[in-house]
Amino acid sequence: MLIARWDVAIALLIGAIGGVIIGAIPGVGPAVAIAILLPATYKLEPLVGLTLLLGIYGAALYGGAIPAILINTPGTPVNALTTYDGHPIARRGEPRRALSLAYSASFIGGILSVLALIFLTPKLAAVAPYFGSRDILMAALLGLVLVILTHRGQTLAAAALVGMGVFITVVGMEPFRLTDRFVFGLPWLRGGLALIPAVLGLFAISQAFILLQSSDAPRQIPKVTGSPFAGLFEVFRRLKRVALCSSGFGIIMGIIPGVGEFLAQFFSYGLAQKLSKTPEKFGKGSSEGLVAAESANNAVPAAAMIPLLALGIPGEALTAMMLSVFTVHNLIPGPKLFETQPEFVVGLYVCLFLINFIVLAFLLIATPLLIRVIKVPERFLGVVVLTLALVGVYSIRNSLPDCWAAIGFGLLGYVLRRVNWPLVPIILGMVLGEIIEAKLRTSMARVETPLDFVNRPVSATIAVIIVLALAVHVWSEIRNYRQRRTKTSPAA
Amino acid sequence: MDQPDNIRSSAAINFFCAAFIVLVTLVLVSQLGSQTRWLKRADLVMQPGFFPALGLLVMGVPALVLSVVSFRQMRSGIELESPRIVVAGFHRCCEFAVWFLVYVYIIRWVGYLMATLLFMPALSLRVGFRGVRWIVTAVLIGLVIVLLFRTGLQVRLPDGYIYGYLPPEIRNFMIRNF
Repeated sequence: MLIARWDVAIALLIGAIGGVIIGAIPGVGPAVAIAILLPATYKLEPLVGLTLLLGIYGAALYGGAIPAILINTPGTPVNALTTYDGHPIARRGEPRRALSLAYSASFIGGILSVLALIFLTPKLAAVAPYFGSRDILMAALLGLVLVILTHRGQTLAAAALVGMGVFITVVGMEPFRLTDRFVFGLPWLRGGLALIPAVLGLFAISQAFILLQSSDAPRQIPKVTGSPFAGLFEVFRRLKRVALCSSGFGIIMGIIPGVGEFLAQFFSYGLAQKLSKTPEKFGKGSSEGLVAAESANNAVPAAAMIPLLALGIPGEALTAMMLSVFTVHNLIPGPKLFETQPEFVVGLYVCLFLINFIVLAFLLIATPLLIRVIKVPERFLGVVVLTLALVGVYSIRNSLPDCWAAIGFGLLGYVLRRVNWPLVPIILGMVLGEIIEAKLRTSMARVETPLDFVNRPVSATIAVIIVLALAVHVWSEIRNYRQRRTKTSPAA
Repeated sequence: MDQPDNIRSSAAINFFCAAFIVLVTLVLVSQLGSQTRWLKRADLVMQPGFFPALGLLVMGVPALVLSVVSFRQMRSGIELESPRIVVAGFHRCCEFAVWFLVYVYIIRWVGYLMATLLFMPALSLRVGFRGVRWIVTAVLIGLVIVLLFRTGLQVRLPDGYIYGYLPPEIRNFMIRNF
């Protein structure tokens, strides 16, 4: 068995424990850590590399709850909703209970999403052979549309950034006619702008720039005492319905490309509030609110692997990074992966399952030690992140232009972070843009009129979903506009 | 009725960012003819220039709409405060970018180990960690990073020129591990 090997076991432990620590440090987060580690994992075997990265991804969301609850600062951006109820519970003298509730809810979300991965991926992979070029083209297009639409209030900015990502992929020599595109006579640009420098620049270097300029205000951390298992029993006895519903939401949102943790937890939180007997407590220290937010966001990572493993389509930035691990090792996600590499797939399932148990055990025992991590000054973290970013960028191909490109993306990411514009659309524009161009060209042999793009059942269904998503978005924008006008007109 | 300050400020920031993207898009569109090839007797979609044009369209049109919408929201014209918010701290970012590039370049001269052991404490000092404790911590963390990535994971990084001046046995050891 692959997972009985020592390197897989070490990757499991480092991924799980390292992920928790990374999540517990506000300002670092799994995207930064994965971006830095990605090139290093290319030298490892695919299962070892993916276990490490997925461990960090999943475990960081567990760890992110610690600062969210104790100091009202989310460890990772997706733990923002945890502060609504987690911190008030801690402030009224029950920090241990709040942490324990968050860990248990995360555990339920994590385990259920791994089960969904195990049962749903083969089903989707069985349908995958019926996916032709036009179907994959439509699926990638759906991903881009959803990435744009899910950035509510910023859809135009997200669309422009998706376009930027798509444009970045065309720089260099195009693979069909072998002609140069936007290389401006620079030989090093003929190889194109690689994904890794972009990811490292946008996520790690820009974050290092932010951290290096932070003011490092002292943090007051409440003392954590009491039984670590109190919340565990509470979730399994009293709050299991909330945890199950929210995990279900997280799984569905994780599977849909471009949606991710934010919408999952907001939907789950809203639903839990509607169904609760005490909705007035939400935002003031409701255990149901805390469990809803944590179980939903932890259900996303494994679920996001479903479209990646079955179809080769990444649903968000972190799985897009993981796709490159498959590519480097010549593993092609999709139905053939299940036929040719069954041991790898089963190994991945088992590792994902075990990660949740390791993380929960580690958190229940080591929380008092982990709390010290929160005290590390942000500027010092900035120094460490910038130092680590070099390993990621420079080790890909020892290329100085890659370092320059990463710095360029870092400065772009810094400005985007400052103005609160999203970074993810650029990365998904890059990854999905490449898929769209390739599939668009290969499908042209069978296309005579634009309607031929949607004359297959799968592509037609996806096209209908795209049209529906756009229609719902336009309708809700019009409704919001009318509501705003109604509110402002009496005052005017 | 005047809009609240935060909305005006956000509209102004959106305007500047979107207008900048529109400007960049226009420059790139002007280069479409010279930086891509347009082939005779090929379908539009199969043209090498088609996808860059599509990317620029997706980038430029929403940015243009956003700049118009934001400009209308600003109402009282362009605020002078907003560009300052957008570029605030940018000069310090540029300084840290230079630090990073110096780190990249000195690796080729002194090797990864020495460069990291110099870079981490130096940047820590620059951002205000002046005590001996912080310098020692920075050196130790630098050492751990080198041991983890270069020695342990054997991540490929350039060897330092100074390794060439070391005795053969030590040189091989340094090239292999640091």
